[in-house]
Amino acid sequence: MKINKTASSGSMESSDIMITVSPAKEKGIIIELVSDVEELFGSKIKKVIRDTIKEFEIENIKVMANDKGALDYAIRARTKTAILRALKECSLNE
Amino acid sequence: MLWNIKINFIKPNYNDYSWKALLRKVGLKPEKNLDITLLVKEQNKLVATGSLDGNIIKCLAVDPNYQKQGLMSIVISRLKAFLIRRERKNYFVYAHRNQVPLLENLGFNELVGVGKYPVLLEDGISKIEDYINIINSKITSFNAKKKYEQGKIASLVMNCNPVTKGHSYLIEKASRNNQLVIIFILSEDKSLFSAKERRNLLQKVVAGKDNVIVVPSGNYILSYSTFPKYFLSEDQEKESIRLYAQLDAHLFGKYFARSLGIKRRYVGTEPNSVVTAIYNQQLKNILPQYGVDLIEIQRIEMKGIPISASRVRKLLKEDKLDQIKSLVSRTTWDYLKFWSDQNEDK
Amino acid sequence: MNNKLRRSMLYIPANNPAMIQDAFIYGADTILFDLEDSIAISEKDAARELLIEALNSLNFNNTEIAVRINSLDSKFGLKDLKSIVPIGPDIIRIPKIETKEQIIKIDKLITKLERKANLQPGFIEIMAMIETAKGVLNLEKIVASSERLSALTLGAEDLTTDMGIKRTSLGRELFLTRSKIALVAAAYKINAIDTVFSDFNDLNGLKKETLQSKELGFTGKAVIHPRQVDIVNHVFTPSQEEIEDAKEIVRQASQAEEFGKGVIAVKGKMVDLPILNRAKEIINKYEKREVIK
Repeated sequence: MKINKTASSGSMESSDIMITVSPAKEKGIIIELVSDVEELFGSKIKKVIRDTIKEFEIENIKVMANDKGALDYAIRARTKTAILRALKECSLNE
Repeated sequence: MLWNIKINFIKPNYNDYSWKALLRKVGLKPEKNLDITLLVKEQNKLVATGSLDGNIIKCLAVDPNYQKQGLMSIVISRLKAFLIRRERKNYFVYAHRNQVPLLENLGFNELVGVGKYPVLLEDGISKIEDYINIINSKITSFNAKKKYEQGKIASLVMNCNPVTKGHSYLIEKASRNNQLVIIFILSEDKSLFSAKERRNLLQKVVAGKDNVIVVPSGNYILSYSTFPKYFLSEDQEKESIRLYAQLDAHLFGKYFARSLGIKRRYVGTEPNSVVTAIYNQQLKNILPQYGVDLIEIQRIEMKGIPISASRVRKLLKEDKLDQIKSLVSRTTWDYLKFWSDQNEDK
Repeated sequence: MNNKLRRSMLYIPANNPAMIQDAFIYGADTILFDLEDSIAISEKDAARELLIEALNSLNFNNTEIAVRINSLDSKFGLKDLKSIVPIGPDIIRIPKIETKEQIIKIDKLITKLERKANLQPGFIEIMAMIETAKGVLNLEKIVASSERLSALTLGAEDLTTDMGIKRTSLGRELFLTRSKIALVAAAYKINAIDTVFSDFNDLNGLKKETLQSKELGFTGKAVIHPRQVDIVNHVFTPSQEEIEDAKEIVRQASQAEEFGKGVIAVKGKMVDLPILNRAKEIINKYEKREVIK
């Protein structure tokens, strides 16, 4: 599958993560992570994001993640919502 | 953590007393020209706010009595989500110096700052470095084709609304005295002629010159994001124009001049517009810090009056097409005739 | 149908991870995750997704889990129901109920979804929110229409809007409705949960209103702030004296039965069957469970 537009989900409030996905030119999953706990959990957070993306079989995607200490379930939910929004044809109504 | 806060987007209400009071509390002035305002309330008390003007976050404030409770994160998250839903690739904040650490923690990068306010920060999926890379590769491929060596590089930033003989004269001067001339044509679509029209006309004017390249100014040079005052009416505080002009000059020097090796910037002397005159003055003060000389060229005149795009626009409005002919190039003249016919009915 | 201990139901906006994670620590009997009014239209999808993941992976210390979905008349309601039922919350709160037909339809839908998710049919209870004048009039038919329906609750803001009247601090405008909800709930042995008290800084006001609710026959109250939990729990928990009295009633009643004695009196009051049942209920609810405070 392919995403055609940029979309985001989540927030930068405590215990949350803000995920922004956009179409990438090159093949692959590129993840840029900013996190308060990057040293300890950076690779784990990236893995959760990556695994969630793989479920959608999306190949060209750039992810910007701004983490504020989100647990795995929240990372999964936010990634999923961002992708679903990016796959949607039209923008959401306000 | 605050429970039961109410978060609402509203149409800006410039008379809202509690909103103005909150802004003053954090040392900001209420601004005009906002598209939308976010209000965060706890038990009907306004505790945080932020507004959007295009892709710029302004009037950002958290009540000092409610700090460290995540309100800034809420405001920024909501505004960011709003901007992304509108498919903005990048966005800016005009912040107070005190707010910078918090904003950096929320993903923003400081571009430049002048005193306590404004500090310009940026975030998004495409940032200033990406933009400069694009310009850089354009210039590299242009140079390769034309077989120019890297030497004295000059630049001009022009709106060309529309391009006149005044512009041609400036370009000619720069072209003759430098190995490469980069013209940044304003990307903002807030002028009489569209960005595309302006660019096409300019391209035709510089077509014969093989050391002149035209590139879009993007979001960072004299754009609505970096210098909103340039596009707003003239009747504004000079102090505020000066601040934004400084911001723009620093941005140009720090990012564009440094990365692209620009050593000179050409401007025409400004007899009429207050905003442009202030702008030129700030360029003159600031650019040398970045190793860039500002070269002011006396405007050429026609019948004792300097040639300027505003003069052309005025004549167009008065339907004095014949008087424009001597002010612009042949191709521009042809287009203006066509344009004038097209717009006659309006 | 049962009559569970549901003194306090704490509303938690389902789009806020920090609030979701901490929801169980405040001592509310039920955590009420909200997908409806506290979630902006543009965030409905995100809240639903977050709640699904949270309920699937977090442990709420065995606290009862309720989910308020969007009205089935909105474009989000059906999607909410379809994604929430498979996770098997204890109870689903459904807004804007005004006819039994709505409940019958929802009951069928939940049964279908339960089967699909390999849940025991009837596992999920429902709580009907009465928010319109019509809903108040149809209360009994609504309650009688489904075995799942285990709680009634009042949506005061919408009801007063529907009636074109204002909410006052005295609450006279809601007197009839509150009484009727408590009455019907008592008749069908289900919970009656009162509407929220929205000024969470006014704890005295909360206590006053909660005491009134209890007097009318409510068994619990929804709360919007953790600091409201203790007061509401306290009000709806019988005093030690009441529990002791209840034990005495039950003890004497069983003795009377043993000796074939018909009528008994405790503390000078005659004990008939309803009083005995009430006493048993109190013991059942508050003696066997470890109740804080």
